[in-house]
Amino acid sequence: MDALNAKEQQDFQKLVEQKQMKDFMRLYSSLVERCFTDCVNDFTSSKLTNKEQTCILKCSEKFLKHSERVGQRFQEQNAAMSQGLNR
Amino acid sequence: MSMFMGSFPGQEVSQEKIDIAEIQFNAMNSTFNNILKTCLEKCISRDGYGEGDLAKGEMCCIDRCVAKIHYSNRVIGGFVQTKGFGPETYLRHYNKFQDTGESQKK
Repeated sequence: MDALNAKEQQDFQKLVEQKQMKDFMRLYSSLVERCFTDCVNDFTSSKLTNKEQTCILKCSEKFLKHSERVGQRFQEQNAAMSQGLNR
Repeated sequence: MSMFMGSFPGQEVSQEKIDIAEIQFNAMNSTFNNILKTCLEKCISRDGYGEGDLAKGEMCCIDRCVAKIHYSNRVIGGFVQTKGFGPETYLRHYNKFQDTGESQKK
């Protein structure tokens, strides 16, 4: 494909920014969904118990670290592939 | 008209080129999101969350998971190509809606 010119690149950049925002919101809601599902199972009270809260925080931290690590590795794989170093 | 707009006078914008860039971006993006989700399911234990940090085993699992998905992708891509994998043969339900233009071409 021909490279985009500067004006097209600007338009494309805008598109990517919107996608990033959307994706980010999606990532966030999947974080909430996962950690809520895994940590909160007791509905005898409307308040989060201490245990649930700690679990949610630990779960979120782990989720973020997972995303970060996958992102790093994904980039590395892509870089390696575009250099043809990969097997 | 576009000559007087924006900070890049004289540059034509081809919507088609941007659309193609978008499709390519989407392909990369959905691959990434898929990896993120799959490796979370495969590597991160769902019971307890005693530790906010990734455990050694989890880190190791993630690294291998990402590498393996990547490689699997390429293996499957290669295989599928030898089988003539393409929209015409594997997404036939589209043909009904494209017939008018297609039949004239042939």
